[in-house]
Amino acid sequence: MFETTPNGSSIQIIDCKKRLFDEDDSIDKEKDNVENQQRSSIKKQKIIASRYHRQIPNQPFVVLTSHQNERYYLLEREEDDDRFKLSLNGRNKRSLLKVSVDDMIEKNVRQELDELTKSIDKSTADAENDDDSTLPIVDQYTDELWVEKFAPRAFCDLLSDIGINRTLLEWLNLWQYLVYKKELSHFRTIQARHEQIASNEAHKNKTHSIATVNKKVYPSDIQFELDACKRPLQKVALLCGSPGAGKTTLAHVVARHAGYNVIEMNASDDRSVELFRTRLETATQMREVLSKDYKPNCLLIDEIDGAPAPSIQLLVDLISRMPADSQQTSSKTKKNNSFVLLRPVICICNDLYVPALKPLRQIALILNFPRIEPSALAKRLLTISEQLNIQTDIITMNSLCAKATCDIRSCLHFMQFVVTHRNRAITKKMIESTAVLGVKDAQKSLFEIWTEILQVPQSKKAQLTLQLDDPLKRAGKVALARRLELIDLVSSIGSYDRLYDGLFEHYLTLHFHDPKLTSINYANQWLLFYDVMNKEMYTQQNYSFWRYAPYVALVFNLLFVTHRPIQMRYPQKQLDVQNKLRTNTAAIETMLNDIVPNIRQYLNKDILVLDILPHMLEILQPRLRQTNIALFTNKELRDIQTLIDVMVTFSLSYIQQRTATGENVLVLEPPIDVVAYFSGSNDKHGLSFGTRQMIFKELLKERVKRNIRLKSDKQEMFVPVNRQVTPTPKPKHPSELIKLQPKAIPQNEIIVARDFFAKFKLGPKNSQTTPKLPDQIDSTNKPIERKALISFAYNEGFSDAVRCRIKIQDLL
Amino acid sequence: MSLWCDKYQPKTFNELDYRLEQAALLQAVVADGDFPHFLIYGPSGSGKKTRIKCLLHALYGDGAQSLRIENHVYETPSRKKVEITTIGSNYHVQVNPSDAGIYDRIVIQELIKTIAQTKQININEQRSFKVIVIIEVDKLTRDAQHALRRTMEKYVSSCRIILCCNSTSRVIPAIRSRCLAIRLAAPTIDEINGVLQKVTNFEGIQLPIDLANRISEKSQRNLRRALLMLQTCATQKLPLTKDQQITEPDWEVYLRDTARMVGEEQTPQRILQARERLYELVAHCIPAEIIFKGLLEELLTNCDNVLKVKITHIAAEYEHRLRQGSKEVFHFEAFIAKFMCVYKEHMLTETTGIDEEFE
Repeated sequence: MFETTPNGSSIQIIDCKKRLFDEDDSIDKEKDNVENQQRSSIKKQKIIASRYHRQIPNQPFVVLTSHQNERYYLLEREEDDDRFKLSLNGRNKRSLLKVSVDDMIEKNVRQELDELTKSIDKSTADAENDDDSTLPIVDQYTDELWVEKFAPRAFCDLLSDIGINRTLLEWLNLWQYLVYKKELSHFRTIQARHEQIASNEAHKNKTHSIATVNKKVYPSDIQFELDACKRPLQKVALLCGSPGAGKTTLAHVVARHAGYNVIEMNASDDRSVELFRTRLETATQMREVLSKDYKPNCLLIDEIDGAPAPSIQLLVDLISRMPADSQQTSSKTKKNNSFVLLRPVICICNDLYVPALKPLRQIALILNFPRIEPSALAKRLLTISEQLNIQTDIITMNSLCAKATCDIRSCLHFMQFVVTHRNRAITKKMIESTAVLGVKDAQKSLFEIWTEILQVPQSKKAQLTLQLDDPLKRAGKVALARRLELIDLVSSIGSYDRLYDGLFEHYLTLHFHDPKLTSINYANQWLLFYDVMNKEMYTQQNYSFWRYAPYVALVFNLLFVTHRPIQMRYPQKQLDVQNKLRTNTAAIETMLNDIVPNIRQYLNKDILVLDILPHMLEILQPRLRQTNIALFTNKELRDIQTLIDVMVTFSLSYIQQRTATGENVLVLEPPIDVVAYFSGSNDKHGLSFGTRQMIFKELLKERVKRNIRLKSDKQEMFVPVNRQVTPTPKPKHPSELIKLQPKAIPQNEIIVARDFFAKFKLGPKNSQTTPKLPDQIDSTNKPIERKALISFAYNEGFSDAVRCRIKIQDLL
Repeated sequence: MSLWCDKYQPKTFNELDYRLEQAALLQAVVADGDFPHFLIYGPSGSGKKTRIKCLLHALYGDGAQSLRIENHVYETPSRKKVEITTIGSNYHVQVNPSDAGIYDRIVIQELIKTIAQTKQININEQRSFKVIVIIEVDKLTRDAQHALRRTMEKYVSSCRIILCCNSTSRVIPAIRSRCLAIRLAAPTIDEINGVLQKVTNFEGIQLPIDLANRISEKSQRNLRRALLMLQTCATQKLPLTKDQQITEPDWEVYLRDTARMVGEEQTPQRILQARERLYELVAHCIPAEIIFKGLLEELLTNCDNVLKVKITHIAAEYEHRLRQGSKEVFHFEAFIAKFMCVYKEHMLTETTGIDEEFE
């Protein structure tokens, strides 16, 4: 048989051309001429044969696509050939042949080529029945799945929506400037044309204000622009649609049509990150690809929705990487970063909204497959059955399409299955007997199911879903059949939580007559039943309850089904509340964590939320006049003092924030007021900005003071240095604090001066002297310590100009 | 230490204000030097932790007062890290295992083992055992409680456990029998009044007796709440007057309004409005059982006796189911719907009954 390699085919071509020229010889009598001719013709054969390539040649070429959808590259003729032409022309004048040798050779080569490609096709796809006039034998049916056998091979044979097909092809053609090194001028003209069309269209829309959707030449999704590498802006095409819509077939056909070698990755391959990377790189790297033997690659990633998220992230990273980046970083890690995507990548998925696909969705050209037109599919099925000599009619095929929900694959499978086992005929009865073709496990979206549950179906739709010859329907129990079907539908989706959240959020907005509220009560009991079951399932892993879950939907259907159109929204409330709860809990927990252990031991979250917070916030917001702190009344001072004490012990603070209106506000941190106050009651509370600022300042001061006290307490334990600071380790009595507070601000500077001297005098001298002991006894709980502070002032005015280390603690 | 409830908290048995006989007994038990495991239970704000604190002080002296916070990380068999915070001194550890959620069993096991396995070195000076205070025992999962019961006995020589909870109904009998159970009832109104007067005396404030009574009643015999209310009153208006307004927590007001809405009108729209408010309450970290209780209390106010029994019964049933389930709002709404249903029916029979009488 024929060999499939390009070299093999060119040898064949040379052989057959030899034979051709031998025949020529017998006609031609002039011996020396013959020899000449033969020599030159062999030379020419070589030239012609070498002009056809199956891979991209280095010289200028013209692209040919055979009807077998194979690409050949015909080299353009060079100037050297002119000499050869001349000699041939000379021969032609003698008109020994009716047709010029040149033409004959061309024609023959063509023929041979055609046959050759055909046979190659045959050897790859074993049985090619399309062109065979003889009918296949029944035994052959088992050889191959019909799905494979009747898969479209050429672009024109595709069943899927022509707009989608063209878009994908257009997108793939955008790659030719990089892959085939086509001149950019060509691109400019296309782009210009495209823009013109777009503007025309826009103009038309403006003038006529009529939507001209069908007339659009290019769907607007494609961005007709190239980046610096001459790549299209959208480097990935993402095909999505229900199974059996022909996505994979389309991708294969289009890629081959555009002259690519398809490399497919699907879910059967290991898709760990490392493997994914190596495969991606080998498939799309320029250097490896552009060696002589291969066509350029086109990577086809099938079933990408099942791939792990890191792999998809990797793909996105590689795609969005710019060549400039790689040059910068190449010095560091050459291997990882030298990769730039240079070949088209087509991804295929069923479910576009898988979370892992999110990054890819944003950069890809998304082509959404609609369901195939039932009429087109039925016609195609009829053609196929005619070819196979199966007796059937268009009505049967139509109902087959409806039952299989336009899934080409399941249609063909069904046909193959039926025909192998029975006569060569498909009747409507066969299709309607559910024993042979089960109803497809159709995944409907949540919204469809909600509508199905809560809305009385329109008559036409009901017919469609119930057209099958159901035994229950036959027995007149249409309602029961419908309910069973509903349960099937609900259980097909699986995510009951979402489903019932949606129902729960919306059932009260529906119109139903229920003066005694019994149906609401009943529905709620079912919801509870579900909830209890659900918890049992997840905590005890007792999944035997799973099968009872869909019946809740049925209860809602029975109770609340309505004729009016319903407007469902995705259930957000639960999620919102959960988020809010999470932030609130986080605030409470941060607060709890920062409370000093002495108080914290008595508290937990619930006590904090229920008892402490509401009252504490009142205490934190006393009624204060907006004046200087020195002018405060005793009560106000006391309030401030408690407030600051509370804030310190519970480690609360104010932080500055900017509101949407641009004002600066001080808010509590952690934001516990948000937790404790409910919406609506917020405004009656709250201090003015000025007061908060004042509190904040006082708070900072108090913090520093306490820190120093804490530190000096520690120092005290080892080296007792300062007598005047140690006596106030903790505020003991509020009465004492009241005395302290008013002095804090006005005394600031005086204390600075006084303490300065006291400090360096006492530091060295009194460290180990006798008055230590009585003083410590004093310090425990008697208010005399204020006197001790003042008592050092008698040395004021004395100076012996010595450098002395002053600590901030002495200045406060 | 500036919230009065913290500032005036008793540190020793001598400073306690009420339940003095019980305190004396506790003191006597501790004075002997050895004591069994304790299970102290009672409503919130009745002074459980205060008594534990006093007990520790009686045992170890001032050393038990210097506290530190420690973070422990335990690993579950499924390799999940569980973090738990304990508060403790050299002599005792206080832990709330329910912070670890469903992994509380691991916390219980590991924590007690690590503490119990290290013995006090200086036995002469100190007690031969450490104390582990476990709070919110009623929130422990069943697994954790089962894990606890054997551990309690096994390590009794080196550690004593003080359990602290609000109600023993969710503590398994096996644990209850291993402990000396001490019930601490909420203080009576008079006792609260006494404490309030004492605190105001310290603060140098005059407290009218009427206001004290009102505060005590409003606090639902929760001493902590009473003291906080008193302090809030003092912040708002200083010479305290007897008809002064007492601030109630926002959530209580909100919850009561919600319940009132339900009582006023029984329509699907009302349920919808109530649901919004219940969502709000849940989002503000209010525990579900508190919401349930609040709803019930308010709903009962305008029911007659027959209905009261019925509604309480229903509430108990739904609260029980709430514990079995996970989506709180479903349960609230189901309860509200059931209430509306029963209430309407009751009203209907009542009015028809009256009509019949007229005829």
